[in-house]
Amino acid sequence: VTAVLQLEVPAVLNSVTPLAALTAGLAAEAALPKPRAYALRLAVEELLVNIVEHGYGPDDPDGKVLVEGDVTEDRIWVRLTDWAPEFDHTRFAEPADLEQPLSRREPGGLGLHLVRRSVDVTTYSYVGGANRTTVVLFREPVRVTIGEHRGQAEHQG
Amino acid sequence: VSETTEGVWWSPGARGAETPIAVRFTERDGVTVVAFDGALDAGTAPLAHQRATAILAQGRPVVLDLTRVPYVSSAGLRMLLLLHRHARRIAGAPMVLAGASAELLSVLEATGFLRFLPAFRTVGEGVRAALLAAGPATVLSQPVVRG
Repeated sequence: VTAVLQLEVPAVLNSVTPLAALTAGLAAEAALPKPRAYALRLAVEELLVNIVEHGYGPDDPDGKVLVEGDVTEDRIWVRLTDWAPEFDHTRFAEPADLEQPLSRREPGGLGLHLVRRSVDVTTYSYVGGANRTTVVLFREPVRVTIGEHRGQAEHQG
Repeated sequence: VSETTEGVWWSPGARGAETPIAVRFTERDGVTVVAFDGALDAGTAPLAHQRATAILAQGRPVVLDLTRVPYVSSAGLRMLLLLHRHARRIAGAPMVLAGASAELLSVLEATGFLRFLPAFRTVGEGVRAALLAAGPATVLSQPVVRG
C-alpha cells in the first residue's frame, strides 16, 4: 500500500509543471493508457489555473494550493485544496461559445469544460475556509453519469 | 518542395520555467511553418505565444506544426485562438494545424477548434492547404501538386 502523494505549491501558473509530474507518476503507477493519463493531467492543470486566476486572483501572491493524490484498487484520485474565497468549480456552466467561429470567441472559459469531459467524477466541498475539489478516474472505463457516482467519490474525501 | 530554413530555436524562459518550450520557424513555398516543441500548458503558452506572434509578423499563410507537442491545455488553446485572430488581422492570412496527435485532436474537436482551424496529418499537407486557402494569386505564383 502506497502513501498518499502530497504536494504544496504556490498559486502561480508555473506550478502546472510539478503537478504534471505528480499526475504522470500516478498515471504510471496505475498503468493508465495514454489518453487517460492526458485527461488526468489536463483536469488537474485546469483546476489549478482556475484557482490561480479566479480563486486567489492577482491580488493574492501568497496563495497556496495543496495537491494530494493516490491510486487505489479501482481508481485514481487527485484533490486540490485552496484557501481562496468559496468557489465551486464543478458548478460552472458550459462555455456558451463552443459553436462560435474562433474570431468571435472570448479567450478562456474552456478550462472547466475540459475538466468535466476528462474525468469520471468531480466533487467539491467548502469546509473550514478551504475549497476542496476532487477528481476521480476509474481504472476500468465505466459508462455512468457523474451524478450516479458522486457518493462514491465523496467517501474518499 | 523547396525549404528555406530561417529557423531559430528559442530556449525556455529564463526564470526557472521547468517545462521547456521551443518555437522554430521555416519557410516552405511562401508558407510560414511554426513548429512547437514541448507541452503547451499554462506555464509555457505565454512564451510560445510571444515567440509565434513575432514570427507571424510577416503576414504569410501559416502552418502551426504540432508534431512535437505531446500536450495542450486550455492555455494552449487560448494561444491558438489568439494566433488565429492575429493572422487574420494582419493579412487575412489563412492558418492551419499539422501533425496533431490523436489526444490533441480529441481536445481540439471537443472544444470546437477543428471547425475553424483545420488540422492536417503532415506539414506538407498543411502547406498545400494553406496555399490553396490563400487564394488564386498565391497558388499561381507558387504552383503546388495536390496530394
